[in-house]
Amino acid sequence: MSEAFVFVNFCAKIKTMEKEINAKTIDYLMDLSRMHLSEKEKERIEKDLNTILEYVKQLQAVDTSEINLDEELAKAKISQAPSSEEGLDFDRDDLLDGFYQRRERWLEIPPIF
Amino acid sequence: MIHLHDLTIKKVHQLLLNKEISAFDLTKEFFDYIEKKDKTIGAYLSLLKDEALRQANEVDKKIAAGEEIPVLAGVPLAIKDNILIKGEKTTCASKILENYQASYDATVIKRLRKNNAIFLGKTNLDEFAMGSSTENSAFQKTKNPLDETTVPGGSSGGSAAAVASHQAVAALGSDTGGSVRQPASFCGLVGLKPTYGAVSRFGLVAMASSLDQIGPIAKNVEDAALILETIAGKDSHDETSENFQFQAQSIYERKDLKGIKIGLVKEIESNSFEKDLAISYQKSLDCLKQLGAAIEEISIPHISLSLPCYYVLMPAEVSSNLARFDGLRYSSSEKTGSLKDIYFETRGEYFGTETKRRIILGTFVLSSGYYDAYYLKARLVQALIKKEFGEAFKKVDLLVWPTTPTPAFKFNEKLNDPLAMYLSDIFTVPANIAGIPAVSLPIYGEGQLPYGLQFLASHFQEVKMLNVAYLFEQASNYGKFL
Repeated sequence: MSEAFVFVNFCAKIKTMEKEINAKTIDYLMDLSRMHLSEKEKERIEKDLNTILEYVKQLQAVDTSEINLDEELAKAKISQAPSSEEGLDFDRDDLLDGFYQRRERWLEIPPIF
Repeated sequence: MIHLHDLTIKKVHQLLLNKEISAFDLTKEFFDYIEKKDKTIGAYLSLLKDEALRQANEVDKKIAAGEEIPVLAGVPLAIKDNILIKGEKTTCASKILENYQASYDATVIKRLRKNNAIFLGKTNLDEFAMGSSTENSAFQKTKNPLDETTVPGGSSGGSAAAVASHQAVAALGSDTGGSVRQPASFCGLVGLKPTYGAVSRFGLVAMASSLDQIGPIAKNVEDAALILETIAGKDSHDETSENFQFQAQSIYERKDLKGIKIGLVKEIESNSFEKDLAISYQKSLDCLKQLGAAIEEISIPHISLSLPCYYVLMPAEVSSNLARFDGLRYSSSEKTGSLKDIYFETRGEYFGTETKRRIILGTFVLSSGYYDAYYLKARLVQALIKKEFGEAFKKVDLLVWPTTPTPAFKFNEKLNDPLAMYLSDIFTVPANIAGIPAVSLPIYGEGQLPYGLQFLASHFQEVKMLNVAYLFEQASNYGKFL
């Protein structure tokens, strides 16, 4: 559990690992995330993600056959609507002013394509 | 003569009641001090001077009229800049929110405001609370007041640095994987992460919604308890909040620890701690025994998987929560072109490296073909860890272990190695994964910088946990570095 112990074991493993993430995956993820990355960032993130994924892969060896996530979810509470005495105190104009562009009480968005 | 260094919440309350100082003068004194001190420390991103002085005036009027004032009235606080204060900037230390002005108060702010607390300013953090050193802020560096060559911890590093450098009496932070407790530990303070659901998250900019929790950073356990009392409880705007009532007074109920069982988790091997930590940790355990606690070893077999579990679940939620920052909402981008161009360019230019790394990682673990292997598996392991914590708390009242493996580290020491940075959260993340409360208190070895001792309790057992922490604090060597 100590930092040093975890790290030494991990470094031994990483030398023999197969890459989960490559340049093509990064391009795909960049598109899914709607976020531009420079070539330098792509290289860096590819390297970092492979390291992190190798570390988190230890989860896959754990036997979780007795865990039922549906039971866990069933314990979650049912949503409640806000009560009337504690209403939201937003000012409509404050919210609209934070938007990209507005025309009176309407929001204007740029062309989709 | 008022010494800002000595001030705690109760001391401020007494000074105001005895009319030894007015709330206005005290607040002004803080701003005068901040003006000088924060040039070196860099704790605050913005100051709320006019509004704070107006708040202080209101407190003075109440005192002059002979009205009873709450214990937090007139107490100058610092607020992490991912918690909304209406009409004020909330940047999350990110360029993407550099011009965003909050349009409502977070529930914690509303509750503090109702108690006439004073908000001095908004404090620095790692961008969107992602980091363990506050080095990921897009705006400035924050130094650890105990050793300015070291980081203050993170992500609530600005809040911890503000309190440790006496630029606020106490502060609010947020804790997703240790972001209140770790900076508190690095800066020699008390940091409290309440049970998930004990405090409303409404108005806290979401990072990982199933793990985030707002908590106080304070000079002592009593101050942390007084703030918890004020901010805790059900909020209809946060469906995960619970009807949890906490009385700060209850932390004095126990006079010793007779009958209290404290568990040492055998999977956390104390013989692997660095020497100075091992010494201070052993001294702390001896102190608990002297107070009457029974210490016993227990097992939480999968506790060491909390960190890998966290680094799947947290980025998954980050990638989803941060999708809302698109250049159109929450202050507009100057980018032009199609909608898609604006998304790509704004997010690409204004998110920092760590934020991008976590968004991409989160998108990956949620993507088709990898969801089951990563996200679903992590959720299953999380459920297993929670179950094991539940079993542990059938045997013992509290658990104890250090807050971090090391004291505050140097700037740039871990900045270019994300995994090494993530590993500094190894002892704090289990509480978030299990959703339980935890509090960090300063302990001292032979070195210059403090470590943290962490108490953890079962869900909503804050009274028991803080009672033990209070007794430990009284009996140990508290205050050495402040």
